[in-house]
Amino acid sequence: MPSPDNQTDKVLQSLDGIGKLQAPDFFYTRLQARMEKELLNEPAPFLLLRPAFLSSCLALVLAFNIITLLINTKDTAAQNNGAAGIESFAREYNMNTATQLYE
Amino acid sequence: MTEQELISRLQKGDEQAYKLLVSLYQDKVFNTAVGLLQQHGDAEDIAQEVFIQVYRSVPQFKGAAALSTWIYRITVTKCLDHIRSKKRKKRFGFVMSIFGNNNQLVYEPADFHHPAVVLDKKEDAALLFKMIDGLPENQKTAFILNKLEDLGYREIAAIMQTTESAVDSLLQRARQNLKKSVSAKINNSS
Repeated sequence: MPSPDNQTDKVLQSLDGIGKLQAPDFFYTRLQARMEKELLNEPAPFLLLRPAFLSSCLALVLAFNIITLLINTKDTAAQNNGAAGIESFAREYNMNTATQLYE
Repeated sequence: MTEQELISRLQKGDEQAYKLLVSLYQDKVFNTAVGLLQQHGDAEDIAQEVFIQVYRSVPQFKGAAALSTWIYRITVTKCLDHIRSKKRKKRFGFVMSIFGNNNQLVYEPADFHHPAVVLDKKEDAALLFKMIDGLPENQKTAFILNKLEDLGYREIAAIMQTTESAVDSLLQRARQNLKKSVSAKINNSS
């Protein structure tokens, strides 16, 4: 009976010069069938997460912001013009426009 | 056809190029997967998953590594993920069996007999494969790539994204660990 050391070496050398395995027959055919099944049945990404949808939403929000900003700026300018007009009218006719509630 | 031509045809979605790629690499992928997983059925499944992953990722392949290195890397990653998931399931099954929620048996897999091992070495090789299975992941990967795929240190280092000296150290530690565990097993059984 071989010594334990010899036995250990024999086990450790058992894979020396081992041959290489080949893939099973019809591997490509089976792979093709699996790919068709998996890739065709892949669920489409959720609409709300698609980059095209997200970027168009972002563009829309930006456009609304810009439009709102432009409208507000115009309104403020018009209001300011209106106030200045009243004051110049009051000065012209020597009228006091200030409220004097506590007098 | 050069590797660069093959890659550019693959990136254009050429089916013939894909068929050629599979025929060139199927044996390497399968052989590596059998070595790491020690299961024929699982190895074939994983080999298929590797080529599906290659098909999905080839448009983003920049050619930083050789095609073979990239495919080996995918194979190793898929095999290690599969082993981890199997271990998790096994642990979960064991816990469930303790609590009595599941009567499924937690079975130990039978010895793995590699078909390429010659008959008079079958028993020794089965014992060695059992011990290889107990090695840490990176030692196991380096050992299998070196022993079963005959890859050199440089190639293994590229696949494992490490240095050649690290591969050398991994292989040395793997051999030492295997020697210890095989010798302990032989001493216990004699």
